[in-house]
Order: sequence, then C-alpha cells, then structure tokens
Amino acid sequence: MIRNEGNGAESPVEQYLDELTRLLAAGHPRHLRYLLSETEAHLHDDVDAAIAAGAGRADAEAQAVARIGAPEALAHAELDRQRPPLREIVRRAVASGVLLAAIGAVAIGISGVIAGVIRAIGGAGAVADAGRSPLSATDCARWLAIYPGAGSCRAAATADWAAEATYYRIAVGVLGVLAVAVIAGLRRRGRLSIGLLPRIVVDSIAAAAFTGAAAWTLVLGIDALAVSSGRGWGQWLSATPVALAGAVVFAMRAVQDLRAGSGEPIRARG
Amino acid sequence: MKVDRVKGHLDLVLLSIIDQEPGHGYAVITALRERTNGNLALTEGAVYPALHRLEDLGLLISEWMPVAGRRRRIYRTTPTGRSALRAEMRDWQALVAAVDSVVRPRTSLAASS
Repeated sequence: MIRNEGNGAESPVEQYLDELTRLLAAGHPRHLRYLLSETEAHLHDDVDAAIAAGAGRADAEAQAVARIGAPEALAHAELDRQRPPLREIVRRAVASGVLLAAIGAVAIGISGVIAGVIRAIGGAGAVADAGRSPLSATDCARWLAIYPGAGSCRAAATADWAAEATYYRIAVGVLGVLAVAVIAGLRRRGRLSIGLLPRIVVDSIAAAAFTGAAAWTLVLGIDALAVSSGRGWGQWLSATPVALAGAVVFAMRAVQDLRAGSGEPIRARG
Repeated sequence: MKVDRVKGHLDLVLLSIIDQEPGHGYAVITALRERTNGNLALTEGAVYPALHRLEDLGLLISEWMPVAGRRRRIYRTTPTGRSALRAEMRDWQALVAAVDSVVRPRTSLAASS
C-alpha cells in the first residue's frame, strides 16, 4: 500500500526506507530486499497500530521511525552480519590461488608445446643455451650418453636442456589440465562448496600475473636473441605469447566485471 | 532494563518467543513489548539483524507468507534452535539462581542480627 500518495518524500517512513536502501547498497541484494520488505511492513504495522489507537498519521509515522531506531544502526548491524569471517576469506583466497596456479600450469604447458615447435624448427640451440661456463666431466658423460650424436659436451648439454625446457613444461601443463578438470568437475557436481574470491579480484590478479610474465619473458627473450649469445631465446619467447594471451583474456574479463558491476564482495551466505 | 543488558540475552528472548509462536518480526516485537509491559528497552530495528543471524546459524527458518495483505517473513525455530533454546534457558536459570543467591538478603542472618 502506498502511503502519503501526495508527497511520499515528506513521509518519515518513506524517508527512512530511502535512507536504509542507500545505506544497505553495499550489501547482498537479496538481503537488502528482505530487510527492506520486513522494515517497510514493520513501519506500516506500527503506524496502523498507532492510528488505530487515536494518533494522527504524522505523529504515528514519527513514533514508528523513532522506535525502530536510526537507519545507520540497523544497516550497520545487517552489514556486519553479512561480513564473512576471516577463515572464510582465507579459504576462498587459497581456493582462488589453487585455481590460478592450475591455470598458470596450463599456460606453462602450452608454452612447452610452442618451445617444442621452436626446438623442432630451429634446433636445440634456439631453446637452450649451454653458455660458455665450464661443464663438469660427470655431467658431460651423462649428457653424451643420452645424446651420443651431439658431437660435443656443450651440444649434448644444449640438447638436454632444450628437451627439459619442452617436456617438463608439457608435464606441468598436463598436471594443470588435470587440476582444472578436477576442480571444475567437483564444483559442477556440488562436491566442492568452497567459493572463490570475487571474480573481479581473481581476474585482476590473473591479468597482472600474466602481464608481468609476458613482459619478463619478452625482455629475457630479446636479451637472449639480440644482446647475448643469440641462443636459447625460444625458452623465453615461447612463453611470451601465451602469457600475453592470458593477460588479454583476464584483462577483458576484469573490464567486463567492472562494467557489469559484478565485483560482488564475499558474502557470509546467500 | 538497559538496552545493553537486553542485547546480551536477545537470542534467548527471540528464540523463546518464536518457539512459543512462530511469527513475523513485528509480531515478535509486539509480543516482546506486551509480555514485558515495555520494560525491556530495545531498539526495534535491532531485532531484524538478530533474527537473520539466528537464521544464518540454523536456529531459525523463515518463509515469506502473505499476512493481513502484506508480505511477511515468518520465522519458526528449527530442531537445532529448540536445542539451543533449552541450553540457553538452562544457562539463564543458572545465572539467575547464582545472582539471586548473592543479592537476596539472607533471612537467617538477618533474623539473628
């Protein structure tokens, strides 16, 4: 029922509800609706009871608003209730970290595949650089045993490091894919009830991490290619496009989150 | 009674009222007002976050129902809430008995002096 149809803005009850709505804006939308509905019904009940007892509407509304207490106190109590405990925040931070680590591992795996392509096209020297430092006889014997056709210890070392830069990364990527699949499967089946940090936080962290990785590997790759020996650049530049793609994807998601206003804080429930 | 004293026992009071008769927030507040003849000074708005918190804890359950032409959130106690209420009542009675045993004049001493 609409009260004070003539000028609702002057009604103490309407003013109270307007103020409460404004103060609760930071909270969960459903909790906001629930509390507003309850408060509105409460105030109108109280006004009706006072009018039935002989009070005028203006007095009845003023009394009802005074009895229910300051909107700031009510909003503060409600928002305080919605605030999650520290344990929940830590759980979500850990869960988000595990998910991001799994995604990072997948990216490392893709960079391993690209490193493998560079290695196949440009040779082991494009992916690894054995440098000029002395190599121990024991290591040389091991590398030459693995790569007998390498011709020299340094070439065998380069071949071994290039293989490691490729296959170890692919192995990490496979683990990442498995981890992502397990997490997604458990969440879909409702067996993993741990929530994540707000999407905009996760996306922003991922975008920053991938941007940093892209810049870092690009600088090292250019250094290896143009400044240093001109060898081993592939181990860095194989990761740059993957990190750059990750940065773009997560940055776009973060922008979408911002535009959609989905940077919803962690809730105690709901 | 001062507001902060009431706040310390608000859960017990709310669980007790709702356990005896499920109802919406205003009905709970009215029952509280009537049963205490208004002697429990309480900011009425404080009741709603308290009800929501008890629901978060699984001690109350609520559902929206139309009552007298308005949409109301009706609260009732859960089995867990009833157990919690019994425990709270035991604690309260123990506290009352303990305080009472200290503050009540000891008749035997009073008579002998």
